[in-house]
Amino acid sequence: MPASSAPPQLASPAPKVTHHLLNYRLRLIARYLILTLGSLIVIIPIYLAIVNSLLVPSQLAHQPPPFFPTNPQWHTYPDAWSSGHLGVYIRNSLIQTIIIVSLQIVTSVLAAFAFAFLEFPFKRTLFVIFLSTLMIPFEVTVTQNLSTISSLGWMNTFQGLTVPFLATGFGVFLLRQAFLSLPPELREAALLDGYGNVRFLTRVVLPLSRPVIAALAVFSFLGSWNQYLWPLLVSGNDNKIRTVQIGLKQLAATQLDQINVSLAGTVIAFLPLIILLIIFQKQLVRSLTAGSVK
Amino acid sequence: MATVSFQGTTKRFGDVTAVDALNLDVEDGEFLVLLGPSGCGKTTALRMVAGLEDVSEGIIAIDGNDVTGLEPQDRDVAMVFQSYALYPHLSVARNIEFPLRKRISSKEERQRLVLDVAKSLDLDEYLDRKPGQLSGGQRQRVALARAIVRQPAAFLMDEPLSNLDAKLRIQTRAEIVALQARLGTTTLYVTHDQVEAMTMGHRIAVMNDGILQQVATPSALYENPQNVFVARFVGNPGMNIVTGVVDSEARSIHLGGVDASPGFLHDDAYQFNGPLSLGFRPESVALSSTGLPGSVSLIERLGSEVHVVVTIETGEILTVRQAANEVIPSLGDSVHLAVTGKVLAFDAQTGERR
Repeated sequence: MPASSAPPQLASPAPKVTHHLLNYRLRLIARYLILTLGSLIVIIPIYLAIVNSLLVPSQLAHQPPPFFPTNPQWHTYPDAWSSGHLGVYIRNSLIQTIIIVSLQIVTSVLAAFAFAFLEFPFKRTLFVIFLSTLMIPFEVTVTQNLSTISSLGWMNTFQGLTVPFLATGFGVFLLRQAFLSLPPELREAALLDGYGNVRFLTRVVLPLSRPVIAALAVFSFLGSWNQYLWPLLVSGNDNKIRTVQIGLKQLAATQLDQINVSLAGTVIAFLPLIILLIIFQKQLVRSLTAGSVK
Repeated sequence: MATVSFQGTTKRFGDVTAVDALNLDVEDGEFLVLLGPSGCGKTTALRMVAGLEDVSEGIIAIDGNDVTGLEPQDRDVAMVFQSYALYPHLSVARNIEFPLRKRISSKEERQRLVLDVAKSLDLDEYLDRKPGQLSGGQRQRVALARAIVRQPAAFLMDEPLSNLDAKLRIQTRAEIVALQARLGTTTLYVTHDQVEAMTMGHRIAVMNDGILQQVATPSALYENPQNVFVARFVGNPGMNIVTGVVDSEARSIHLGGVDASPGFLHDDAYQFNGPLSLGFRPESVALSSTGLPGSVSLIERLGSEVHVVVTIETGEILTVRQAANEVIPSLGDSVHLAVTGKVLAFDAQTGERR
């Protein structure tokens, strides 16, 4: 716009616009700075674990240790795999996690459906009791659980490893809220169309709740994969059901002079989680932000 | 095809009676509109027919069979919801097919029925789309298609046009009327919009506070309302009502103690004696040189006609329907009104027709 031809009264708003734009840019920059900082805080330990796993032990003694591997020791990975029996442990962890995740989803879906759609006596009271379990830390129940599992003769078995975790108050709560957000007319339309509870659940509720169920699966996978205390308590002295977290601890204990090898083991152990997060990232974010954006 | 009847049907929510001892018969093939303001119990009545609400007392019969205790899917009725209630994860074709899946095992047969219905509602181009990719009017047609496809004994429609814009509403209104006439399926249609009720229904059942006020054809309802509520609710604008004392022998009407007989020219007004509510349609009253004095408080120009709202000396507000080419007074003008047309008399206490 030629400045000379602009009427004088139009000239005054211009600085205001620039001011707004500047403000907007500053906020954008601040936002990205905070996000970058946050990402660095998350990424640096992971990066250091990877780098340090590739160093020779003498380099690790340097303070600070090098930030880039100059002479990567790739052999630490096969070393960790074989000396730590990681193959067996990862398999055990996978079995444990798959059992817990899939059955937690089944129990949560069914309980949440009942709380969201069915009418029964003491519904609210029961739901509050379910919720209250969220406030009880696992450590409080561990001795009781252990004695139950032991009296059932389930020590050192996959039942013992998984059964105490097959139902979750968190999952029931998460899914109930998601189910309640479905329009009630959908249920009524389905009823009139001749669909009972089971078909309504499988044909309508589950397809529409996929993102939330995926989120629950990821949470449950993380929780189960990272378990340490309970697998340690129920697994015996052999490798039969020992999980990867215990394996890592063992690896670190037996390879005191080889920190790079135990770090390689750590990297191997968290790879499944990274893969899972990459696959489900979109759905996880969608379900966590559901409702916040129309 | 079937009849639907309410026999002393009552629905209570705690202490609140939503529908009070409703007795109503919908004839086979009839298009009956349940009309009333929000909260009058019309939707509850409809949902009781669908089986979505339990009945507290009385029965619901479809084709003479008591269905009060039956599950919704066993009543052979189809419902069209205000929100359409389409399954958002299914394509249009799958949405329409949904009610057939449990009833017809042959996939080819189902697909043929879906295609037939879709064609009849101009939906065949959109069969692969998801509801989210359709306009409001198209979603509405999918909801209709889903109801029609299973050829139910009766259609239940719960304010199906209220989410559409005004123009589309008029168009869809005509489409639903034509569709119902073609299929001849008994239809129970709920609305709060009296224009919709007047233009669509064979008969209209007016409800208020859970109580059925009157059932009649649109013209009978307009000409002969049974009480003040119906008189005011039906018609746009509703009937004018003034309260006064009539003496038929002296041929006098006193409004607020003042003789108003010069304003009432029609003999109808002098049929009854005593304190009465007198009702007359906006087209039965005109601006005049003598009659009821008042001042113009609002003028609504609707194009072909003009509604002149006059506050008379008793404080009562009357509407005069005028053609746009007549002389229109200005806001605040002092005017006189003369009731030239039919006057209906209602009991001043109960509001019931005399």
